[in-house]
Amino acid sequence: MDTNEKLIEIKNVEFLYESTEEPGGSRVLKDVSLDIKKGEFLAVLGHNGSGKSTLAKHLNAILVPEKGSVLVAGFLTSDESLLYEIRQRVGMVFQNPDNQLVATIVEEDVAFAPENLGVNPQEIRERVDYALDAVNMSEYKEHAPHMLSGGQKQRIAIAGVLAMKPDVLVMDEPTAMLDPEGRREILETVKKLNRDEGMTVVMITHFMEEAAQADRVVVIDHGKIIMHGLPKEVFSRVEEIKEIGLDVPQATELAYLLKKEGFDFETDILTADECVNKILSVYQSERGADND
Amino acid sequence: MIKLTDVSYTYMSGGPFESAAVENVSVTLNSGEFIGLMGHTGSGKSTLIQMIAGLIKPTSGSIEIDGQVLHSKNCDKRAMRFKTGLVMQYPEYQLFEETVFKDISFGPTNMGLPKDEIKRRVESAANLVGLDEDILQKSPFELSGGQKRRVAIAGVLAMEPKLLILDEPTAGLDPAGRDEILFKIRDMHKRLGITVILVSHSMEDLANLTQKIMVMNHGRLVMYDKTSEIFKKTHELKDLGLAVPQITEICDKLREKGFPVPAGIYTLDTAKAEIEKVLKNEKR
Repeated sequence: MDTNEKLIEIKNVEFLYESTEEPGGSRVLKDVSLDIKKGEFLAVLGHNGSGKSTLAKHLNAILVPEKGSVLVAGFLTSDESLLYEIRQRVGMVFQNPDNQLVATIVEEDVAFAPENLGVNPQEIRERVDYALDAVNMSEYKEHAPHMLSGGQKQRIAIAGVLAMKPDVLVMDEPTAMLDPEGRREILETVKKLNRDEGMTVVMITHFMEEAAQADRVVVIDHGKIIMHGLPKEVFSRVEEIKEIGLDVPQATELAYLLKKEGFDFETDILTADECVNKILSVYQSERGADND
Repeated sequence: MIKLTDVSYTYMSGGPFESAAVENVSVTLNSGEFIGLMGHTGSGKSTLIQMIAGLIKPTSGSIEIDGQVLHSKNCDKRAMRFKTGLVMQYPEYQLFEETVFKDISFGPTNMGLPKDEIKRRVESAANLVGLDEDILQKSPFELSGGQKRRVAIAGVLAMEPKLLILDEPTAGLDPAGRDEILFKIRDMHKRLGITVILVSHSMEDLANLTQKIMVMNHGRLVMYDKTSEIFKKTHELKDLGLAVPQITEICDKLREKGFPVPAGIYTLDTAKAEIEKVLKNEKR
């Protein structure tokens, strides 16, 4: 994060879905306020039905708040005349890659959005080449999307969004349908875009190991933001996270369990390596104590 | 017992786009076991389970289930269909009935069971997956994603299969939803003594549930062993584009650095116990 410029400002947003059971609708978002800074990689966690997808859909005016406001680069999402400005800036990628690909050739698929935006052919060519290169799929530009793997398809979907030159990439569980290899591909792609291109990324996920790699984590439960902070800060609250039906990385949980046994462990451990080093240092110090 | 002998499947056989999805798989699976199946996308997992479920016929080789050879002349196809239950990926997209009850009862109704037996089975299946009774009269389309998933699984369970095959039953669910469904499946496996084949990309889930694991790569069965043996092969799995649970990675790295934990640890509880033992020893 090289700047503190706010790209998206979410202020006191409330949102209701019509419901046949609850008169007055069911409240999905309750007084949600959140700023998304330019260039950050933000992960959003929450269990199914917590309201996180609803929040994501507020970021590009697929949904607009009942109360409160969402500003995207200064544009108010509830103003319909600004829809074009907002949608161009916020690109969305969803769970199922098969639902997001429209053309029979990869490069035509990536060109779909800029074509519809009326971009001139020369620039479309440049954007498509850039986008495919950014997701490391240039060599597949003349392939048929349906012959690709899940991870590759999802990268094409990301390229399709990049070709619109958005300011922020919003991804709603982009790896849920992928195998471990595909998940790794997507996460690497997203991290690279964030790091090298300065792309702002909002990623909703159920995979704690993915969230652990973000700059910042927001946890939503029952329509409210209940935790936010660095991944280390959020995941160290193991009990609270488990209580709301989420998980922590196994490395964090192991540290937590050992700490409970009275060993000198902090729970701000996220990766296998951090955990290994911590265990080794405890081991060394116990050994050292032996020799005294 | 399920016995596969030299089973192969080729898509578009004989044509220019011919491609072998499964090649010469021979394996024997014992009744009552909980078996995991892993392999990256395109490794032939889905083709293999579709053949075991009798949905597609092997291009060559044979599959024998409890003494009956699938697709053979004297195989009772109808009986075999009812013996094997297959829960496909994202099964909630297959819900179609007006009420949850009707949807779950679709299979048992087609089996020609009497009405009161159908009712018993629907209620028992709903109970097994943890659906409340008052949901049975609702439209399946009013339910949340996790509930829909459970309705779809209950629809297969209501046929009371002896062999239950689940293809990524928890994909897209949150950790709590995932654990709930997996614990129900484990519970059911224990109580009913059925054979379960679980296809999953989640090493943690496979580690926590299965007794044995089959690993597929490029259409071939490259490993089949006890779960504890499979997770000793960290390097081989990584070469296949697969991972091991994070906890296994931690224990492997500790061991490489001279911290005395045994190989093949794949659950958090075992890891904690082993590491604690070593640390406490040092303390003494």
